[in-house]
Amino acid sequence: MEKLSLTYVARKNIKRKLFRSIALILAVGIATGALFSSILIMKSVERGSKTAVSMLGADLMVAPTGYEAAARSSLLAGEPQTFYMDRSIEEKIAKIDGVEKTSSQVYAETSSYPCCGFRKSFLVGFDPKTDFTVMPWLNKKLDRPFGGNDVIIGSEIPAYPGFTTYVHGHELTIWGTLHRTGLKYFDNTIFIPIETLYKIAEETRLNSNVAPLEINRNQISVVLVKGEEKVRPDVLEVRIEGRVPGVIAIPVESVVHTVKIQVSSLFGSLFILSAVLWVANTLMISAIFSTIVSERQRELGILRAIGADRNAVFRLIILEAVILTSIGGILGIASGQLIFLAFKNSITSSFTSLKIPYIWPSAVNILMISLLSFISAVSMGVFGAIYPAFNSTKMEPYLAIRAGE
Amino acid sequence: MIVTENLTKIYRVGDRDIEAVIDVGLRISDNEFVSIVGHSGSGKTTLLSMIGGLTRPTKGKVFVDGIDIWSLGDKELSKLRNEKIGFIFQFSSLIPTLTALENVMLPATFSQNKKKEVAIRAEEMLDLVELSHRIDSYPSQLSGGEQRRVAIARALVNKPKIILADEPTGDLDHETEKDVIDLFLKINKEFNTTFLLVTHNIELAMKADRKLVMDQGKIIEDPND
Repeated sequence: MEKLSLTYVARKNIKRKLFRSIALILAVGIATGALFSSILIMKSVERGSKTAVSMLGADLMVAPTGYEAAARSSLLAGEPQTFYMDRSIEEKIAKIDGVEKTSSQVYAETSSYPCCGFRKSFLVGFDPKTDFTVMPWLNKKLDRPFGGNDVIIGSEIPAYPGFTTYVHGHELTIWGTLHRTGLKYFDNTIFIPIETLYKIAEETRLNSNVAPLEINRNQISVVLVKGEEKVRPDVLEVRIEGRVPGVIAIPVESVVHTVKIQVSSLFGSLFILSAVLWVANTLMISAIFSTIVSERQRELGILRAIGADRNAVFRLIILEAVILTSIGGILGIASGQLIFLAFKNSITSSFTSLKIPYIWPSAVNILMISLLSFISAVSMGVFGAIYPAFNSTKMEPYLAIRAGE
Repeated sequence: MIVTENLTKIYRVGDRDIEAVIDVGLRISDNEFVSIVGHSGSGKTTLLSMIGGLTRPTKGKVFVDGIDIWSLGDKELSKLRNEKIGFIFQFSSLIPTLTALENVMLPATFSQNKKKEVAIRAEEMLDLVELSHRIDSYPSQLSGGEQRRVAIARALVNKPKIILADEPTGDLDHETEKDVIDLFLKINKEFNTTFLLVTHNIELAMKADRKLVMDQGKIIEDPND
């Protein structure tokens, strides 16, 4: 026989009305699962956006006027976009007070499948002399300096340093690979020296056997700007837009904010649903436990007669509710985790297609989200049962025993 | 020893006051077997409940071993009920989700007694009521008489000094009723337990050391007066 305790008695009581208990567990499970999912999604998007910002290492992204949305989607979804402005803009920006460093990038895309089973990839021309966004994230590289015919690839591209690849017919060596980020901008991109990219574009104009690369020398897509420590990005934004005509300066932090708003509007309803379910379940638990207390008045009176004080009776009722909601909570969280695990790739793809960066939270974060969801589930039980439990202690034992007659 | 002084209970029903027990003064010695008889509604059960700390008197005092029980807080009063008083009710008072043994052990859940000792004692008590072969049975698997005997075993598990029995044989057949009363007398003698038995069965009441008669909330007959 198990050790006889209040918990044991509570567990036995739960088994008494099995259907009612299962229904309650499922209701709590659904609410907890919804809450867990909505927090997980929000955190994943937040992490994706923050990673994008921190990996870029820039405070501002300067793009031609009218291409703000295209620039944002390049960064957040890693979507190849073709918009260009004159390279001299970088020099003008570099001279502005408060600008610490600048680096230009040119966006293009690979024409087809250059080698090794590559998918169509984002092609970014970068300037190795001024770069501060790509090189810091190198994972593996060849044991020699970066050369003109070398490229750096993202972690999702199935190739290793030393492999040869072709971009629009031009032979290149994979010099290094980047750390996995979960962001397409980094993971599915070939980073190529900007001068080499111009050269390839010129070659394609002379060679009719390869797909053309429509970029002219002196064209760039964006200038990444790192501000001095004392200068706020919004101040720098105003300075750049005021002094360099035809450009828009996008504070990279604002990209995260925009994504947050986007996601809040998409998944805010899931949060509201979770809150509504929490309130509805708490009320339902309250109603169920009022019935339970009423049904078991005589038993509770007998427990008081044999020595249970008010506190013990209160704890017994709360324990029953906590056990039920804990099971529901665990079930909801486990189901949520299983669903997310099973559909991990398609969830990530769905978000990417919505131009929303999505990186799964760390194991510690998932644990924290699970804990928070679990606390929410248990709190349904505690708040729902508190009034009936309190009521059960108010009645005199004798009257409770007689009430059952 | 149990002593009551001017024990009174008045219930408010609608706009009327109903006097269930009026100014009862009582003295029950240790090891005494006392029965209370009276018609339905005479106040027997209410008196027993006040003595057992189950319902608060409107007026008066109850002393158990010199302790004014109604001056105690909930925790202390519950402890007193747990350690000094055993209750046997007029209906099946077992918890349906627990086995016979678990029901008998239940009072120990609320005491500081060592659980292992209680388990041994619970088995002894079930043996005393001749139900050691039914320890794993649930109340629904037991007959009315067996359920009552499990309740008796439960009342005895914490070695109480006092047993308060409220119509414990009310719904039992004559044979089982006789067995239960014989068991009470045995416990009274063997364990030196004070018994206060409420019944409307005069024949049963006559088996007690002292028989009190109640009517309209008052004790109208007490051999000690």
